[in-house]
Amino acid sequence: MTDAQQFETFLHNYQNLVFSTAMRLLANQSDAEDVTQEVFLRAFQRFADLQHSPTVGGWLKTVATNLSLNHLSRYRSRWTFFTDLWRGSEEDDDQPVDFPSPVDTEDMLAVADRRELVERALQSLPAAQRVPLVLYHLEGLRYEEIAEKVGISLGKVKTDIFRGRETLRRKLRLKLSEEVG
Amino acid sequence: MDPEFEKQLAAKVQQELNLLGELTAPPALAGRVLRAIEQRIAAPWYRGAWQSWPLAWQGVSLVALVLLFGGICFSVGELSHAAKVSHAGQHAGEWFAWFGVLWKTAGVLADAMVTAFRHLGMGIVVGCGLALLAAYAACVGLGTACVRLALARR
Repeated sequence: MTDAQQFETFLHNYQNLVFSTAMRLLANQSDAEDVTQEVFLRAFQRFADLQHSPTVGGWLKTVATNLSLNHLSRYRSRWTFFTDLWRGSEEDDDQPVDFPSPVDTEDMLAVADRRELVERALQSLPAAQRVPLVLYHLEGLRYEEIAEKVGISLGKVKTDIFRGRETLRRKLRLKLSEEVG
Repeated sequence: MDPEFEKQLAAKVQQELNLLGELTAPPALAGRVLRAIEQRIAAPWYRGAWQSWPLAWQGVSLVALVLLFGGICFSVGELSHAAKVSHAGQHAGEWFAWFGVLWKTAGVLADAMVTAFRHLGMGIVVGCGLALLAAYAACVGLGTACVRLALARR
């Protein structure tokens, strides 16, 4: 197998992993595709080292995360003011109109549908809530690491993650055990 | 915030997010990445990052830059001390004269503004300032809305 063929196989093996990481952080397909392309361009430059590395998945995820955060921060300063203004209305807009009731959800939806539902709910979160939530729950980062990566205070990370969970709970109509009883 | 509620909520959200598998990348993405790589390979070496230049060219460019910098420093030093600097000085003088005209114009405009403020009164000045701020905010808002609309999820 030539290097080009090996890289193509490598690309096909890992493209979903990289695309998922970028897509969940950016919530925008076009941006996620741009980031995925850049990640694999960087991987190509280091392919000799990477192709036999056991930690290649971790490397790709880290680069995808960092590039996605760079992408977000590039627009952050421009958007912060108005995003903050709009965030209030976004948070109020928690009506899960297009989601079935929880009882029906449990009974009728297949796992794939449930995944789709969770995915859509996650991507509908405002970036300020979605990014720390994804980094914590899906990327396994600690609060301190998130604060450092995103460039916000530890307190804000905790608050944003809590708000994100709350919004998800309302959107997905999740029942906690104390509420069930 | 109730710690028990928070704990349960975190566990429940984690449970939901654990359901998520990998998203499927668009079918055209792999082709796009491979094309970008081919373009990068086909591009001449000097269009890439300096770190990726051949070592010999890195050395040559570094020496050239050092020589250029040294040359500029030397020339400036020589010019400032040379007796025959007068001709060059004339040229520089013309440039500075040009800046002088600009400076004078800016000064006249500033004086005119101060005089206008004194005669118009504080209320009108503050009103103009607020109107300018409102116009600026409207421009930023419209621009932000357009960018958000353009980059909105398809």
